[in-house]
Amino acid sequence: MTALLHMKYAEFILPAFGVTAVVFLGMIGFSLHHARRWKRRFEALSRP
Amino acid sequence: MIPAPAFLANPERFMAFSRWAAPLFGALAMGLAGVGLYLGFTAPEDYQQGQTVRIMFIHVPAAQMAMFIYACLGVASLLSLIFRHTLADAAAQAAAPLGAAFTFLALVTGSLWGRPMWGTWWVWDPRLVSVLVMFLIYLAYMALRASLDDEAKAARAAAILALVGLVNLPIIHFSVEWWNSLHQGSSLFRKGGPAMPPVFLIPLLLMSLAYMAAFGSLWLVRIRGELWRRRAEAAQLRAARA
Repeated sequence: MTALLHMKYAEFILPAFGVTAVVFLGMIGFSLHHARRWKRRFEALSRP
Repeated sequence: MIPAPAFLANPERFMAFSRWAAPLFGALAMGLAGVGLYLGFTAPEDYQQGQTVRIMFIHVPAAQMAMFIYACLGVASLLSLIFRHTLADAAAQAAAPLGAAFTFLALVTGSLWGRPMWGTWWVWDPRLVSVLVMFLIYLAYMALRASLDDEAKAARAAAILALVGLVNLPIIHFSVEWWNSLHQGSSLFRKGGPAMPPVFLIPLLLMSLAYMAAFGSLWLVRIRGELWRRRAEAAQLRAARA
């Protein structure tokens, strides 16, 4: 971990990986939330 | 034997397929990314790029996916326009935010690589500008869909925009050959094979496959969500009429 923080150009490399991780987490979170939300809604509306 | 696209064109079959395929692709993406990142961070420094070569393992797959997703958006839009197929329209709608996210990643990680290597965050280079145009087209597609109340009209207008935007794909790909560009030429898909040693090529290919699997998983989840939304809205309409 220390080696990662002290590698040359770490100030560019770590933000690149950080932004990628955040965007991936966002894509996963939003996609799952969207699907689950509408599935629940449909199931609630379909109940007799 | 039914061809795969025709087989999945049935929403019930698609839902049954995506129920197990989405988590499978997700697990595959995590496994491939784990190995790819390990090999990427244990690879030696590049003699020219130094440690910044590690950014390539996330930048190149993001750029590849940005273009691949746009091609998927174009094909889905074409099928939606020709056959008025709900699933094709849902696939196009689900692909756009993912494509925008991957294009954003390609631009940001490219900029973070460019600052130490080129000495600048941004340059008005043909490759960079054409990718920025693709990002704007993704945003315009989503804005257009959101701006019209009539969903059928919105889908048609957005599909036409997506098809027009397909012109940009060859421009992006050949921009480094057609114009003088600061951006390097293709190092993977070129005559004579990839222009990099296996120590960089293997983690790059693993990360590319990981991104592809991640997109496959997220696309299926988003299409499922879109189909649930349409079913819920149809059920709501039926309830209101009853």
